[in-house]
Amino acid sequence: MRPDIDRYWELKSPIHSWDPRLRILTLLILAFSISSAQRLPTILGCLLFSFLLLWLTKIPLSFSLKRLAAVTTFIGPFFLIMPLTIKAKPGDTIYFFSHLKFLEINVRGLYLATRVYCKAVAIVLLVVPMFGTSRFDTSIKALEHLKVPNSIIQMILFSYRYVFVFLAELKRMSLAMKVRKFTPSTNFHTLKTYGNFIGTLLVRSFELAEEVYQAMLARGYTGRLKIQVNYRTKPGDWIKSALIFAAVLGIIYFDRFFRGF
Amino acid sequence: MEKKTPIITIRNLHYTYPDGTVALRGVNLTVFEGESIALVGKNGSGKSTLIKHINGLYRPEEGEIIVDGLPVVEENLREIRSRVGMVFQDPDSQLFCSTLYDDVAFGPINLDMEPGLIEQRVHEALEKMGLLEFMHRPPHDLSFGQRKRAAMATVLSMRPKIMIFDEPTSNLDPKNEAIMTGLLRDLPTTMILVSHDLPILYQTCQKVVIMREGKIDQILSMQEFISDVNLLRTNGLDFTFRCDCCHQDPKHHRYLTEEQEISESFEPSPP
Repeated sequence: MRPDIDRYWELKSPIHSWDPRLRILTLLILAFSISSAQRLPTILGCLLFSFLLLWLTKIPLSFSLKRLAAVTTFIGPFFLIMPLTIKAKPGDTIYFFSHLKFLEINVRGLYLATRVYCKAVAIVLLVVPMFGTSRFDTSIKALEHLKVPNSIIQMILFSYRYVFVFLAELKRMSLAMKVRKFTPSTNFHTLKTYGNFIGTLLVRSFELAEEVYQAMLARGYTGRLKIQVNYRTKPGDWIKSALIFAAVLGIIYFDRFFRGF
Repeated sequence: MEKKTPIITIRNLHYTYPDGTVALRGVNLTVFEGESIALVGKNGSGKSTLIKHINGLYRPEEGEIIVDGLPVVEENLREIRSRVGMVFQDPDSQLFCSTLYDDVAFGPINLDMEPGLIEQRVHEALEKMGLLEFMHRPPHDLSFGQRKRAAMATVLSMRPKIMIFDEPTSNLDPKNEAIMTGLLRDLPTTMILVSHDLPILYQTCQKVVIMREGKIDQILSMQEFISDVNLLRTNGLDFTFRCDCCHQDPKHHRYLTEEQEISESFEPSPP
């Protein structure tokens, strides 16, 4: 999977035309409100809302779903661990096997894992409307307008640029290992080879970083990345943000105060 | 006769790396305005260290450098870097922004140019390098040859008076090499070219500065340099493998000795 989150930045949609500064700020607030939700019905509603925003971007669903693979890898094991490890409380439904009495499955653990997973998915899905609907550099430069420190912006921009160089180097080196008949297995030789591989990669990255810094100095860099982007906020951008804020208030109300069903 | 103006003056330059490696041992060199100089020498002879001093990336341990009338000292660095453009060997070290436009605009922005002028400079530089259509593309989407040219555009947009190139044609295929050679030949600036690629040096430079063990060993005209096969060989230069000897009659391939090729290809004037 290539880390090019902005592959579909040229599409035309209400989310694409949204001022990046307002878009990032608003969706970030939405993400925080999703993370604060406690009740499963609210969280499922948030999940649906994230899908709705994703649908509005016109970006293929498969593109976003691929990103969910990483979430599933990290949070998937919660479905296994939480029902088995959560501390039982009065009123919990617990299943156990007659032959394996030490193995208790707490349904509340399963419920908690579902909540965590759904929240994570809803938030990760927001990343695409947030950063995938304009060029990545435009989105990151918008952060400068949102008063994010320049050093953090520089770090993000350089990481994004050099992840591709890093991947190419990784590919080249692993090919160089393959052509010399390296087959990984569980032995000391494999461990040593991987150790050398990572070490060489780090040394090369360090050398490249030094050269990049020199190339920057050579073109007048003095420690601060000067950013030249002009953003224009239209009335429609404020309306879009207002709609999302209404949704945020809805999430909070429904989660904290609504006890209708 | 037209009087030549010195644009770079290097006097008794010494430099030792922090690990104790002595890189430069008393370099003296004068480069005149409009000259194209080939800086050659074996690996480790001090070429790269020397060019990095001209841009102020390294500071002399001893000696002095004067660039376009300005001594290379901290307070002049901003001005010097606007006058001395440097193109690194690896384009990936030169292209660090997310789009080609940003990379080419990086220098002019740092020089605090007006936004309109920046845009004009970027367009001009990219157009000259034949990369205008890739303006909003990220550098990693370009081919290696395009990235090499893009690296050159990043410096051209600053319109420096002096341009320094470190191995500008390394790893390029013949087509891109020809493009790059053409571009180098047409540059109206003073130029210092570090390369092991003799045909390129021959086509772009009039003067050769040979470095050996951190010192200037010899300064010759290009004709004198290419006439001396031993000198070429000692300095790790070769162009046997890319002579056009077979093009005229492909059926009768001739494999020439290095001496024959040199004399037949360039026909240097007798001493």
